[in-house]
Amino acid sequence: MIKIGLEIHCQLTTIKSKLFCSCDSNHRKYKPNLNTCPICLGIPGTLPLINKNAIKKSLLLALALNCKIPEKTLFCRKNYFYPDLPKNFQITQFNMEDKHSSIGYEGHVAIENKIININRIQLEEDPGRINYVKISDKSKLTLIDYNRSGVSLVEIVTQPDFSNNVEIKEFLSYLSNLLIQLDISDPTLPGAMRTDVNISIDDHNKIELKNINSIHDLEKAVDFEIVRQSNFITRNLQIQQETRHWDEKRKITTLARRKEDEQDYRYIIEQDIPSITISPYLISKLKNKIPENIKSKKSHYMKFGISNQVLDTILSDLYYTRLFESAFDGQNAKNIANIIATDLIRYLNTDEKKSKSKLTATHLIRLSELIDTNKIKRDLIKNILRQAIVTGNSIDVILNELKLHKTLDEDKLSIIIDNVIESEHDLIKKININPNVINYLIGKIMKKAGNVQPKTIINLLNTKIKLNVKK
Amino acid sequence: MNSKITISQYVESVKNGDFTVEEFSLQILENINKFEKKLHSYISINDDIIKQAKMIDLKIKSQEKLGQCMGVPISIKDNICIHGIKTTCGSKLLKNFIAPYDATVISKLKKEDAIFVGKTNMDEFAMGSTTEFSAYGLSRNPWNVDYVPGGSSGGSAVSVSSSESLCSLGSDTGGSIRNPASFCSVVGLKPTYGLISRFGLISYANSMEQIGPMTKTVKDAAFLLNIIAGIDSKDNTTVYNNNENYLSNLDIDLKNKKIGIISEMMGKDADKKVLNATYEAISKFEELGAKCDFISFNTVNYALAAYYIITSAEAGSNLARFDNVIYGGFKLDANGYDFNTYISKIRKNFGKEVIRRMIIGGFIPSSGYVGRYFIKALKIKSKLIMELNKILNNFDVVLSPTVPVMPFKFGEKQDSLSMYLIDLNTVLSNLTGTPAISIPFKFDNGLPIGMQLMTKAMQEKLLLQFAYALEKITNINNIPSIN
Amino acid sequence: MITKLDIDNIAKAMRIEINSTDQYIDDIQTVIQYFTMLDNVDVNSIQIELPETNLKNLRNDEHIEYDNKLIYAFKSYKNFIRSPKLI
Ligand SMILES: [Zn+2]
Repeated sequence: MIKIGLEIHCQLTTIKSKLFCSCDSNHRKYKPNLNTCPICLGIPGTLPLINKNAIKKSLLLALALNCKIPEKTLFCRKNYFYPDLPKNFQITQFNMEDKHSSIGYEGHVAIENKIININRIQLEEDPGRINYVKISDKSKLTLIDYNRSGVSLVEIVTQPDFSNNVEIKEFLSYLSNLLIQLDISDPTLPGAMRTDVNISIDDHNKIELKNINSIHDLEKAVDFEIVRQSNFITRNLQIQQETRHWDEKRKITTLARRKEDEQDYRYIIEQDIPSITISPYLISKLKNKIPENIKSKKSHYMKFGISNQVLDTILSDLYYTRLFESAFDGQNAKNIANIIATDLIRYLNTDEKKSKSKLTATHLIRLSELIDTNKIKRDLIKNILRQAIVTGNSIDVILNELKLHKTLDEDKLSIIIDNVIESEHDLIKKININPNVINYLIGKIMKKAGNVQPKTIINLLNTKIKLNVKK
Repeated sequence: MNSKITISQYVESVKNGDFTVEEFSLQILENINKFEKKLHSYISINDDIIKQAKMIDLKIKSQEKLGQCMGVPISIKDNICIHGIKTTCGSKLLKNFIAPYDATVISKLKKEDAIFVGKTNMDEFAMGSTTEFSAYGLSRNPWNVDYVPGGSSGGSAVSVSSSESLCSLGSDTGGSIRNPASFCSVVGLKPTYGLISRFGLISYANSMEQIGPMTKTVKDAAFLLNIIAGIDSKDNTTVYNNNENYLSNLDIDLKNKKIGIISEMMGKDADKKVLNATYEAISKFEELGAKCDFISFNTVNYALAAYYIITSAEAGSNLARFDNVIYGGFKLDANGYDFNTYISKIRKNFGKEVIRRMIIGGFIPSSGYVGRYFIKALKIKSKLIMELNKILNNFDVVLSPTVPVMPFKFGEKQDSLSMYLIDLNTVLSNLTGTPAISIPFKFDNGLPIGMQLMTKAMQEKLLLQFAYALEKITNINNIPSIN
Repeated sequence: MITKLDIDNIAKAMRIEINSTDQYIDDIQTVIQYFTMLDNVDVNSIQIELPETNLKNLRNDEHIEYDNKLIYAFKSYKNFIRSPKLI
């Protein structure tokens, strides 16, 4: 089994200032280092001044991802030396022994056909950017721009609940929508959303992938890594726990560092920022900001007029949920939901029956169309479903076999025929000369009336033509 | 003109026109000329003192509104930033660091028309109790130049004692204000954690340290505290103090007040002379009607270990930024070195004591040890806060000698552990965030002994009242004759 | 017990080049040994208490431009800060 977890870093692009100073959160529009101050340059004697809006925005995200919110939140220092960190430590969050340090934890999100669990959501500062400038063939300069230093990043850590790229894409697009709708971030800005991945196959060691800059590359990196690891496994080779870099140009992953070379970050509590109490009042205020349609999958689908009871039936079962969501196109939501919850549920009531069934979302989509255009009687659906489950034949084939086409009202047919006679007036005069005319007319009527028995049409048509000729 | 006066006397005299600010500043500069070679209070001296004094005199003449300092010449420990002025922290690593902003305490003093005489000498990054560990040479005790002045704010204490300034600001992480105050016979106050903004104080152990006044008298300490205390939007750890006036009602009756003496702070390692002085102080308080009782506070035995664990870990992190990349004193060219080699070469220039603490500070929070040492130390800190609070529910203040030993000669205490033991009585108030003050009490063979009073957080007023009472009853001569 | 090798490794991790560990070993061993007294204290029931604050005491989200000449007060290379190379 493939297990994939994500660590998503997302800038809070919608707030005005950085996480710990009043420099511009929108660091992209400045010349190098002109969006800096003593705090974000780590000048001695300065202290981090936490942005209350950053706390609120990240709390909002945590709530939207159904996280538990700690009573108090505190910050820690991740100590390591790197020139893009002016203090040579990063202010972030980290649970130390019994001290909890996060914005939210133990959340979950329902995507297409599974639940993705959120491990934790934390707030931290973005480092500066390192630029390499060639000054000659042999040498390049390492130049740092601290404009981004101290910009608010919210990190979302998921459990390894993904098993393929489709699910990852689904989750990331859900997350992106959420960030936009809640006015937390614009993930389309360059570098605003960066994702690290960890992948393990079966019970082998976990590999972390870093330096992935787009969803497109993320897919490629995941695919590459699955193939690479599978190869190791089939050749009975040990997979080392390690961190690998995605090489954008060569489209491969390369070894960055082994587990034993992991640095020790010597986390300590950041005492320049007191522990911040998060009041239940604030939580309820923020909860009200979350629009109905993203509070949960259920409230999302309830918008389409599906009853509470029907939705509960479907969403409580992964098979029905998957079927419903594959058939779902918005307009057909109510029909599909009702077919599943009132009819299908009688036939597919065990796991065995579900797994043997040949019924697909396509069947449900066609059935819904026929119901909408009033071409099928509601009470016949059961029979059709039973056939579809066993044979897998298309709905139209099944309908023909069952000859269950609904007879159109004679009134409606009569209007259609009248219209055709009206428009084909000249042809009708030739009806007794040319025998093909009658066939042509029948075809034309059937096109408009659908699958009506030709016999009915001929009878009615003949009566009308006689009347018409008499006129 | 007598330059060996208090702030209150100075302010009175300037108001009365007994002397001008310029005249007094010249006197201070003369003292510096006379003593500085011997004592070395300062790392750098302000070139504009006279210019600034003249400007204040002009303000007085034209009856412009004047701040309450009226040109008081104050010295500032060299780990507090003054805009445009070199701030070295007693380290080579910052020998060319010009602060690009004012610390909050500096802005407040500027607003009140104080004059900054210069930046005072200190143990490198405030790590030390003798001022021997300054990269710019040691400072000497004005009472006997063969003796250490204490530390790490040694330069500040020396400058006040020798009247090379009228008062000073120091910083106290584990006794760095009180220890040199005791050794040099000046008043030194370590305020409640959060009472004074640390913005602009270069961090050593940020969860423990506070800026505080070092003065000739308790009243002067209250005067400075009035100016520098208060909540600051530039320091999230500051707390609201109700705009307390620390100068008013200093003189109170101590009848039936309760004073606790923690037995563990009068232990077997303490010098007999210091203990005897403490017993004397107890009798003095009893003369004033206070009730003194000995109490046992067992957890105090672990305070020093907890203190060094926490401060080393924080120092390891706080000093990480000194890598000469954005600022710093070294011309070492980045060419040819990789980042790690380069900064390791730069950081080789830390003094031996700093390196020692950085190694301990790297070890303490490392995975595998963080629980055994760091987390445990934090828990002991919490336990101390809880238990001290309980004690202070029964006592108004706690009395102890500030330092359990007499001032000693240079090089006398070499190894870390015996050096650490000097801090035995002072670290408790840093660990618990409570205020503590050292008051000159007596002399033994010409060497000063100070008494320490501690109380509950935010009760500086009460602390100053007790200190004032002790100061009044001892009435010792505080002016050394320097030779 | 902390060894010479430990000290070498920590010094390396703390990015401090030291010529000889010998000058530090005795002192650091003594100090770490002193710390082991904490092994005897039972603090299991003690919670770490930290200073607390409320959201309302924190900084408002406002962009205030700092003096844009600040960077030139430091060791700048054009508008940039130059770093030794990374490997
Ligand atoms: Zn900034």
